[in-house]
Amino acid sequence: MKYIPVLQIVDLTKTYQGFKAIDEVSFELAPGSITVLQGPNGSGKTTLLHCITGLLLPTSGTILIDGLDPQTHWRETRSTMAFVPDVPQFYLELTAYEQLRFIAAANNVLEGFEVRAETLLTRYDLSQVKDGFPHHFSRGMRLKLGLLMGLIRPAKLLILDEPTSAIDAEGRELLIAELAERKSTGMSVLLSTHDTTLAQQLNADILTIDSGRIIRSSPASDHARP
Amino acid sequence: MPALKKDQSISALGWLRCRQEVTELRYWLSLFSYDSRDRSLTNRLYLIYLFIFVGLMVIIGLMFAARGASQMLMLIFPASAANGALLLSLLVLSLFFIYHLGSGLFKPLLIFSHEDTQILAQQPVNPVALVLRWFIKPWLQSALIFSILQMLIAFAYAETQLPQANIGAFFPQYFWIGFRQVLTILPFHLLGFLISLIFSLLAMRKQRRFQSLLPGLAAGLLAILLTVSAFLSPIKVLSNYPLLTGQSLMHQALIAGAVFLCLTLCLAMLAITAKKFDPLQAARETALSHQIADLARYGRTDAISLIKQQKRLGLRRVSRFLPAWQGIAAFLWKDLLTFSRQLSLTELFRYLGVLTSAFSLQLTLQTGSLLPCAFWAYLTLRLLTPPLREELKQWPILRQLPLSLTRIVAVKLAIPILFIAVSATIGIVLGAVVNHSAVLPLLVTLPALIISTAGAAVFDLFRKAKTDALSNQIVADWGLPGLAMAVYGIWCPIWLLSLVRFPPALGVTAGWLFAALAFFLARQKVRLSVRR
Repeated sequence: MKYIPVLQIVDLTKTYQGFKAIDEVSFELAPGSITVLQGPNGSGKTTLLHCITGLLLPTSGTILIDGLDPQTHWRETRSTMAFVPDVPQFYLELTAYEQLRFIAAANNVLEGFEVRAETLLTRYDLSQVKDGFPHHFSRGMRLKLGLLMGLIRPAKLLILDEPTSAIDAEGRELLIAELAERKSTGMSVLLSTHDTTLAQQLNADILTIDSGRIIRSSPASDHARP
Repeated sequence: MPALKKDQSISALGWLRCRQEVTELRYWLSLFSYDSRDRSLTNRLYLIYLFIFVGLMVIIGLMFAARGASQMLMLIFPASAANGALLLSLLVLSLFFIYHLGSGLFKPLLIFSHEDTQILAQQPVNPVALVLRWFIKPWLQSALIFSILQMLIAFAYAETQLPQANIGAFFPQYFWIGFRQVLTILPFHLLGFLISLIFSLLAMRKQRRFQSLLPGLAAGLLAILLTVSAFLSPIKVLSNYPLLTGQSLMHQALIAGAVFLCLTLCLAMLAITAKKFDPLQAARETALSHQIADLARYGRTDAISLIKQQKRLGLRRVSRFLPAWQGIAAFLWKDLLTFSRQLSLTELFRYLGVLTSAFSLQLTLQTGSLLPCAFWAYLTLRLLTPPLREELKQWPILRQLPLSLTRIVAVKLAIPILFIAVSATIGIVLGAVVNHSAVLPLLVTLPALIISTAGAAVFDLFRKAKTDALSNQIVADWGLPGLAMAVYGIWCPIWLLSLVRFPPALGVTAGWLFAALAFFLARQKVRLSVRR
């Protein structure tokens, strides 16, 4: 069977008024892999993730998701990929449960939603507040809910921007376990973080980005825990 | 670091309050181009000029407004303008008292900011001193508006007594009557404010259990009623209303003494009540009001409506409506929930505005007037664009859904369009009944007019929408090109309908052609927006 990377980036460049935020970046993600994107503030991590998810249009280069061009096959690629931003967005008038239900309904995956939602809400300790509005939640709770919005529907590629920035130690452990579990089911994960120990705990490949360029690519075996 | 003593804390807080008041004053002065950092002599002179100029302008403005007010005074109280003016003065006083008392019972009259909370939480503050220092600003703010209204009443009364031809010649008399009226009635305003404040503090202490406040409240209201009745004549005397002359100086002195005694008693009662005042509780309850006032000062209406909506959502019971609608229908479900949860009186008034402007359109159909068309377009844009803007702010969510943006936009506008259509239809039918005119031409053109305006709204929003900005939740509001497009799309068919009344086919066809054009342009802009 022909190998198709779940994400393939070739010579991706994003320029803002002459400033190259992303400079000819190329890499690919294999199915069932976890890749951590590391780099200092302003190195281009979020811009790269935004280009992959279609929030920003790249200036040049190619992005293929599961072998498809997201510009022409947007319907298929959007069903393949889920993105959790560093500051998750919510609809003001919907409760936490309704936010999850809306995402599932809009993606045509309402079947079995109740069980999935209850499982995730209980696991992430949000079951008690599911009928509350996210703007009344703490930052950590909002981040957890944002994560659940990415996990509530099936996807081949999960992209997370700074997922551990505001969650507690327990939430962090849950996230690590969740990602390992998703990996075993064949889901690929690409996440950006400043947390240097996370990649080791996740047994993930590391891409180091600086000034919009990938300066180092280390496979998981290089820094695997003994 | 050693902790501050109570007296040190209150002086620190007094200093903080003073800084806040100065900052507020500087803000108001900056509106008149006064730069408080410039300490030059010319700038100081400009400040003096500003006070004199603004003061004179307010008084002159009031004198001109008094012309209309005096006519109303004579109309309502033809027998005695003096009694009318007195009654109006007391009515204004009562309204202010009711307002302060009412709002004070539901939230503290003393407003604290988030920053105040941080300081109050760290210092042992004397609550009595805090209350006595903090109430001055809200009272002064209220007193300023109250004084202007009282001055207007006094000027209206003066207008009935002085020759009207030459205001300039009688300026000192006008000013004197107004000034005396304010000086006379202001202590009563202070009295009402202090009583409201006492009840506000009691309501806070009793956790807003109003039944426990009722006996005290009734006694307070009775006391106010008796006080006002007792002082009815002195107000008249000091204000120099003609039918009340002849009161002795001794009588006036007695009355002034009684007022002073009342104020002293109130202040003493306030000090006793304030002993158990919890500033942190007050800060928790009023920090939001402070934030809204701050945002209002800088015209941040979007942020204010967001805060108010968040607060409203927190107060309402959440109803469960979970139909198994999937795909694009999920948006309809979400929008129904959103619409029902954010429906406010302001929104209903806008639909009422659509109804009345459609009514005017029908009435003026024979002339093809531009004004009702412009009004209709403006209101429709105000109703159609906010839900669309709110949706576009969720760009990271929208870009992950396997649904086309054009279909999302169409569904997003469905509910407001339905309500606009219903409101406008009622207006048109009512207009036809009143005017005995044919209802059909405008009714057949109405869907085209709505599509035309919706097209203009979408075109204008997406004209400015770029992915870079949308990713950061920046969605520009509609502007003049959108309004012009909407007005043109409505006025042209209406004008043609007025020009060629029989048969109306020309106007109706033009309406539908404009609608098709607006729809096409809007669709193009939506498609292009995701590629920029």
